[in-house]
Amino acid sequence: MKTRTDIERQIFHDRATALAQKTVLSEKSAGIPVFSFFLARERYAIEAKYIQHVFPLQDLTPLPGLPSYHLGITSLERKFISVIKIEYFLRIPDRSLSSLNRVILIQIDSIRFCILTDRIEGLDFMDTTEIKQVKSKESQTGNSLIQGMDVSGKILLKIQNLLENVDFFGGNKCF
Amino acid sequence: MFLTRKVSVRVRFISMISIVVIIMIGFFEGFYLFVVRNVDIAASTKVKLFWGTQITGIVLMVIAIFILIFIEVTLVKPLIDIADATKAVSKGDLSLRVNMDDRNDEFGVIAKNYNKAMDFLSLVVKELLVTIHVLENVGGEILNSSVETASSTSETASSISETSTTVEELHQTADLSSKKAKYVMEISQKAVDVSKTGLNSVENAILSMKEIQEQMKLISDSILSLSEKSQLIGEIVSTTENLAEQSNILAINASIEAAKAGEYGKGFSVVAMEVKNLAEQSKSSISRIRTILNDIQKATNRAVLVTENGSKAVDRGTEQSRESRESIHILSSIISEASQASVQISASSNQQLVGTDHVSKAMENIREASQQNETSKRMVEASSKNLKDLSLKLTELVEKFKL
Repeated sequence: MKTRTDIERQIFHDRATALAQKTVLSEKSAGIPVFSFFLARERYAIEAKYIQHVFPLQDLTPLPGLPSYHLGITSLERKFISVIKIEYFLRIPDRSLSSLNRVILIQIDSIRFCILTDRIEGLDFMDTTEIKQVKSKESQTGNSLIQGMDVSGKILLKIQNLLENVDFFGGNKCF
Repeated sequence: MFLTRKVSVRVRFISMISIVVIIMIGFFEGFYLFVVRNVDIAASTKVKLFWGTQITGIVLMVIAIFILIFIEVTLVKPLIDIADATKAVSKGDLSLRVNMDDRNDEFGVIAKNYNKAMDFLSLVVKELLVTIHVLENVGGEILNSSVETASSTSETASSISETSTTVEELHQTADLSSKKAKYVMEISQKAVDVSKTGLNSVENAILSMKEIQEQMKLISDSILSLSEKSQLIGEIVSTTENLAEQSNILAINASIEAAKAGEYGKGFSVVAMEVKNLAEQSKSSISRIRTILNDIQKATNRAVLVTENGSKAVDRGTEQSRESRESIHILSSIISEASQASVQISASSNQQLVGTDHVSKAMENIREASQQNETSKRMVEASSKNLKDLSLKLTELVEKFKL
């Protein structure tokens, strides 16, 4: 049985192998619109259709008894929105908050929540044909947040999978 | 022949002759009267006369004997005594005295005068003996003293020689000291001049430090003002950065909204993208400005610190210059005193040189006197030896007298 460290090492090895392979550029297509941001110096992207709004981290109110990935709640347009640290699911080590952090408001169906980022890059397009599958720690459970990675190393997140892992206040997934 | 005999013998002889003559006269008178002249007298008377003359002769003989004894006692015996006494005197015996105290005649006078003369002579001889003994002792002491003096004189001569050498060395040392003192005097005079120059330099340094202090204060004020301005600029930059960030977020949100609008929002999306790019450029420029401003602020802070340290250094320099001024002032006083002392030392050294000259000459005189003493000592030694010999001879002579 492989240890957790061996698994992580294998994941990093697969990623490096995927990045090292030559990519045959297909005909340039517009791709899907994505919203790019940075977490721990890595570029991530979420499909733009889920993005509602971007704003600086402010008026965050921590609440007791919440899971560690749940930072707290913030107010937007007179509504309380949960702020989630997705780095918890990406196994990124905890970092302190600062005024430079930006929050992305995401809406999936009727559920709206925020995720915390280090820095935002803006709207961009990702060619889905160039996206390569990479293993992640969560892929062992079958509901990995990571959809794939393009040639530039930008990781496309499957943010809708987050809903399966996150408990928004005991079933009330949206305020 | 007769005259060569002693007086006593001659007196005795004359006395005897006189008595014999008298007796013979007595006997021959009777014989002449009765026998030769045949005086006509009765036989009995003749016998009586005969016997009378014989008795008269015997009486005369007895008287002659008494006269002889008297002469012996009164004339011969004193003469013999005096002769014996003078004989003893001739042999050096002064102890003999003639006892004729009961006589007041010439013999008594002679005996008294003789006794007085002997007493006087004995006294003189005794005193002479004592004097000779004293003289002998004195001679011995003089000899011993001269011997001791000989040793002392030799030591004195050796000491004088050593002292002369020492005085010569002292003279050379004093000469060297005099030269050195003169050199020190010149050097100390130069030191006085240098200390005065140093004092002036320190005074100028203090004035310069004061000017530097004032300039540093101006620089410090300017830098503080610059720092305040930099902070103001920083605040403005922060505000601008905030604005750029808000513009960026606004542009992003605008692009999100444009994307939601689909095909209709593409134009707006382009505008939003441009706004975002401008906001990014603004942020980038502001970031560079902030970096430069941070550098300026760091440099300003360093300049403030440096200026502050400079001011403190100038303060310390001023204080040290003041202390140096005080020290140089004290040093100048000390050097002046040292200079005066060196002048006095130079004068003293010259006097010492003259003094050593005098001492050297005096030692030469002492050496000559010592040599003369040596000669005199030899003469005294010879004289004392002669004196001792003389006293011994005198002792031998005087000891011949019996007192």
